[in-house]
Amino acid sequence: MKTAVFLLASLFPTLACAHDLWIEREGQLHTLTYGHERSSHEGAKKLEYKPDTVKQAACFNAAGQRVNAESGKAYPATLTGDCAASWFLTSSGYWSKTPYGTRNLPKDEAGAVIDSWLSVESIKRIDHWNTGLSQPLTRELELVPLDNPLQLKPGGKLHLRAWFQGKPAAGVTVAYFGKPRGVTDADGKVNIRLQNPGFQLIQASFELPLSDGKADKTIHASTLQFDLP
Amino acid sequence: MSKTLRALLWSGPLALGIQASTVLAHDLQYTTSSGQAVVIKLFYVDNKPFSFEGYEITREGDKLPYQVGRTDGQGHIAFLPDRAGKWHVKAISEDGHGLDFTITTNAAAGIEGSDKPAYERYGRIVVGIAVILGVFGLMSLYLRRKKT
Repeated sequence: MKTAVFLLASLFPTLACAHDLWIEREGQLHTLTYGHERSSHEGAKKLEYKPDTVKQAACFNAAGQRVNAESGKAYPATLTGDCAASWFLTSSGYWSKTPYGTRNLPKDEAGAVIDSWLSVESIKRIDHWNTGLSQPLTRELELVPLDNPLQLKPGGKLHLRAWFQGKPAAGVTVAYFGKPRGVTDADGKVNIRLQNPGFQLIQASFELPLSDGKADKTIHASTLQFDLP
Repeated sequence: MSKTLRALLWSGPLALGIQASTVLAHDLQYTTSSGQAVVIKLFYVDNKPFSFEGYEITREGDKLPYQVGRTDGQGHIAFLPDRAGKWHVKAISEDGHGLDFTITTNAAAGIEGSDKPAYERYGRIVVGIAVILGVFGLMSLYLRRKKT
């Protein structure tokens, strides 16, 4: 059966690459990393980001309480502390799609604009679990496991709830390594089957209309990261 | 006729001639034709086209790209290979989305292989395996129930 699963998997090579955020940890040092194809056999391809795109960083204990940690604001952004969960919030600003490509500009400065958005993205890494982490830690878009995700095995089902502004978020698209796997229900819940061992990356995103004159919408994206034993 | 006048009379046409040839060298012409091209469509998983984004196509072994440009409003690239070979296609948007794959063509712009058609080529086999496994599972279930 394992051979059959491998055969099926190998027939669908991953070609697409989208930008990913993830947090690398060495002891108490948590480093925000950005790049491509984190899950492929080629390994991580790290890309440099502007340090001013990192808006917030926070460290939480397993009870879900924020604890003191030292933030490094130069590239790469870091957080040093005893974190059961580490979290970074980033925003690359306004983007406008034009016939001349996608520009990192608000729509009122980009000329002929087809679509425009403000990008807000967060990443949460869980290293230790307690029930305190089954609640949202922030008011941003956040994927929250309902049970301990660190005890799951490949093939296991992860039960999640998406939160935004302190409420369960319905209609949020949830992806596993960039491949959409479901949409949250009215209660913000969705289940994702974990296919790979080790490093896990579950991503969520949704759009809200924006009326600041600089973009048509805000795209909120959030990533949940943890490792399976 | 004085020498000066004669020189002036000759210099006019000569100057015009030089100017005309310069203009002709920069006068862009065009032809139109219908022919076979390799057409690539790039799109996101929600079927939104990867429109107006930059791409480059480089023949295997070459340093310079064979073609660069932007996808059209529907996310298409039309590409006319001048020879058979493997072509590396790379497309990326400024906000970090992109694709990177290889296609193999003959000289007549016929596709002989690509990274992506693995899905299409083996799609039927996958369905076949799934059907066989499904039938096998149902048979096992039926036999188990019959035994009990």
